[in-house]
Amino acid sequence: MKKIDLDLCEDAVKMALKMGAQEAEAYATSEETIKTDVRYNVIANVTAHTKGAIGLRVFVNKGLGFASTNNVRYLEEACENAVRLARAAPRDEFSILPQPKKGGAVKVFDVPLSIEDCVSYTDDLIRSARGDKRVSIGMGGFSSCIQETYVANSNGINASEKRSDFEYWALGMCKDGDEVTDEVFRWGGTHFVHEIDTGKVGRAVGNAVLGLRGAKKTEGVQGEIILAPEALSEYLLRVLTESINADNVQKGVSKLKLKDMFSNHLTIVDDGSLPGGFSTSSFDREGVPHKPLTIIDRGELKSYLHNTYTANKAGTSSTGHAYGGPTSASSIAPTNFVIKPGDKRLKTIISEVDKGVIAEYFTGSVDMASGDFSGALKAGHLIDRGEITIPVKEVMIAGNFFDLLKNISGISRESRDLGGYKIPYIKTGGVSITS
Amino acid sequence: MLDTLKSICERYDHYTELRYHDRIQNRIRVRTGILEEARSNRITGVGARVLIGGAWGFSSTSNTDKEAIIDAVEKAKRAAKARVVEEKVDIAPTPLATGRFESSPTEDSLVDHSLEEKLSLCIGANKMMDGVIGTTIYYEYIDHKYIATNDGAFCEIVDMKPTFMTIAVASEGAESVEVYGGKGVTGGWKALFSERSAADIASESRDKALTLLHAKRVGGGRATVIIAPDVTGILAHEAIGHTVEADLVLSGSIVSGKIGQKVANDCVTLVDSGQSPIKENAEGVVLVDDEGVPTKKTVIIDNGILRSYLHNRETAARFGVEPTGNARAFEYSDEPIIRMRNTYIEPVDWNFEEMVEDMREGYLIKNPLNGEASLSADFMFGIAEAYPIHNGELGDVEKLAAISGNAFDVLRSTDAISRDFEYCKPGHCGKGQPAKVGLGGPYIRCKAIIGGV
Repeated sequence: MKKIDLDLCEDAVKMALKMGAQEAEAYATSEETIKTDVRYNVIANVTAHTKGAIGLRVFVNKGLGFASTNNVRYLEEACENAVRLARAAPRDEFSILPQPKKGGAVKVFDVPLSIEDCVSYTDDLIRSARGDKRVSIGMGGFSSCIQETYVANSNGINASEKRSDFEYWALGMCKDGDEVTDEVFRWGGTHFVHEIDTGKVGRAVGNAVLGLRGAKKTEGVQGEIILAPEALSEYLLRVLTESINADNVQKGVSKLKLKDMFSNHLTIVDDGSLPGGFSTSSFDREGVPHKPLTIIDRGELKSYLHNTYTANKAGTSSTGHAYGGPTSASSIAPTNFVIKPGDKRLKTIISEVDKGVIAEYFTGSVDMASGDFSGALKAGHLIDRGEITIPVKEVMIAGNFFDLLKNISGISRESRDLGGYKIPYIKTGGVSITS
Repeated sequence: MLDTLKSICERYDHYTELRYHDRIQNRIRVRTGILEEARSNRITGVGARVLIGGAWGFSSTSNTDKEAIIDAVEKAKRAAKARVVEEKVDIAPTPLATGRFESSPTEDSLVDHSLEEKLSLCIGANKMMDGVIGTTIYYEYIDHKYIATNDGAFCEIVDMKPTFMTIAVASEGAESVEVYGGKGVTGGWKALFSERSAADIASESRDKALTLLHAKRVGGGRATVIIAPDVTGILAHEAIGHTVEADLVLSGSIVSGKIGQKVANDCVTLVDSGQSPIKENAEGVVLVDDEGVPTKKTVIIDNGILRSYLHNRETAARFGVEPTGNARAFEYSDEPIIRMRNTYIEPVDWNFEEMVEDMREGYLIKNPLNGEASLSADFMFGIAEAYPIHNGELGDVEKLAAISGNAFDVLRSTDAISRDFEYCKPGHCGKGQPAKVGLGGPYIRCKAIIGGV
């Protein structure tokens, strides 16, 4: 079978133009993935996948058509379908493909791992978490993905990149007699084999859940809350990343205002070129190079995330945030989304809280459009007169995520990397807390 | 291809299962007149699964050359052997499918309708949605599979599932109402639009959203309710069906150890079927599952008594029962796991009007928006419409936020079930991978908590 590569993308662009497309883009990936799944302290599953696909986006009279296939025998059929759809599609004045732009290549590739290597890292993850046998890993896993990405378009873009992504994670709890603690989640990931540290993630989960033994339901918890990086990343930050997505802004879905939305403690930079970032790559889904983008600067909203389409509609340039795989046209997403760390250590921030709660994660419901949320903070500890005291079970909270960002009164120097998100601890208030 | 798969399977002594899947997925989405998505995807590939020494190994490849498939089996073998297995698994012997299985008609097939026609359908229907933010979506799966195992499966499966959906959002000031409409079937173009055209579905959604925007909000509390077929379906699937999936039974769902016990009122019979009983073209038709097991109607609750869980070959062996044909994989690269097919409560003999006339106070509840349920069968579904019933008369529609309760309590409180029956609410079920499922049922009268969230 013919290989999926940059030459194939260039051939596909030519083929689409020959069939009547006025502009054409081909994006393809080819990858080898190995995954392990941990369930209740054992490796429940090991899988290995070889896949590749090519997607074609074409415009005829500014009408959009898209088709993809993972089988090069059907490439001609895909070109035909894309052109037919584009011919039948209504004109959209803003349809456009990007022009070539210079950007620096980043190094995100190391050597591949074998199935046996992946199993061995997974064993280390479980073993490190369970130095104390009361710790139990309910879910977890390790994955190795070696991927090549190719993009070519009729404006002359042609780029390729090879990357290796190694990820591992664990969700653990502690079972001590009849007591079962809340769960704690930790993630680790890197592009380089020598940086894989499954032991660190395992030990972090183990230590955190052992510290939750003896948690009590308390009444009348009041005051400030400190949210761990994991508590923010799970659902809550999505409210913000959806709101800064230019497509949502242009559709009127985003509720962001330019002024008075955020605490002046808050600075956020999204940087797809960040050295060592898990979401670092040389170019986006459309072949546009990444560069740092300040989204919020000391509380002031500075920019939205754009792909070429939304940028054209807004009369600006793409910020390099086109996102997606080869089976659909580009959407928009952040890359390495970095909340700038503060200048105080977490310990100092805790010492500044008279009464409050520090929590590991949030579970509940969040309305993406309004930012309203309600649910529970889990894996938490009470803070009393600047000191962490007892672990607490399920602190119910409700509020609005934008209010929470506006009320930030402290950001820690420590932050954790959560698959493209670099997040510190934040101290905030203005949410209703019950228990 | 089927012969190639068979010849590869037969090279091995251990259980080997090969599944070739060719899928055409076309998808069109139009929002307020703007074409947001117009795509046609074709994916082909082979999933290879082996069972060695009580451990599964799974691998997949998008390269369908013989050498690449053999390489996938070899990787699956390494995956199975790479880990230490504490609890060995086995698979239940069962008659496996041979031959060709076709769940969609050859006449008026989806492939006879052009991409252009599907695109213009969405654009045309979208024009019926003025006054609201209207989205029209058409998507279809055209599937062709070959399954071979070295213990007897040797079959070809052809299946087509088209869906047309609408989303209408009406808003005024801070008030906003969202209404979903549409239909999904297993079958051809005629089956999809047999009852209502795309334009009718779109304008109904629009009208409903605008009516609900100005409707008053329903009061809360425990009430006697008649739930419409669309709510019955989501209750049967989300709140009962997941608790009887044997893998989740093993994880400690509420029905663990309750086979043979009374779990619902005598009038309740709840079924999951790979066929399309009662009405044709149900969305979740699966004639042969992805382990090559021919499906049939599985009676989960028989006149109030819990009779069966939903099994794949592994859990069937573990429970010492026959597999029920519930192993499903979304694409070639997904491993088959236990999923539902068409899940519903069987109709009985009441007529809907009589059920209403027979009620002094309560509500008719319809149009679910979303739903979540736990393995203890506690559920909460977002619901759009409630119609108060007072002395046997239906009142004007009111806005409802949610219905909640424990699904088994609801079934124990059920005292009337209609003979009217519908499959409704197109969509996917998510369990790590998506699956097209059918949900439906009759009107049932029961007790639940309604009102604000």
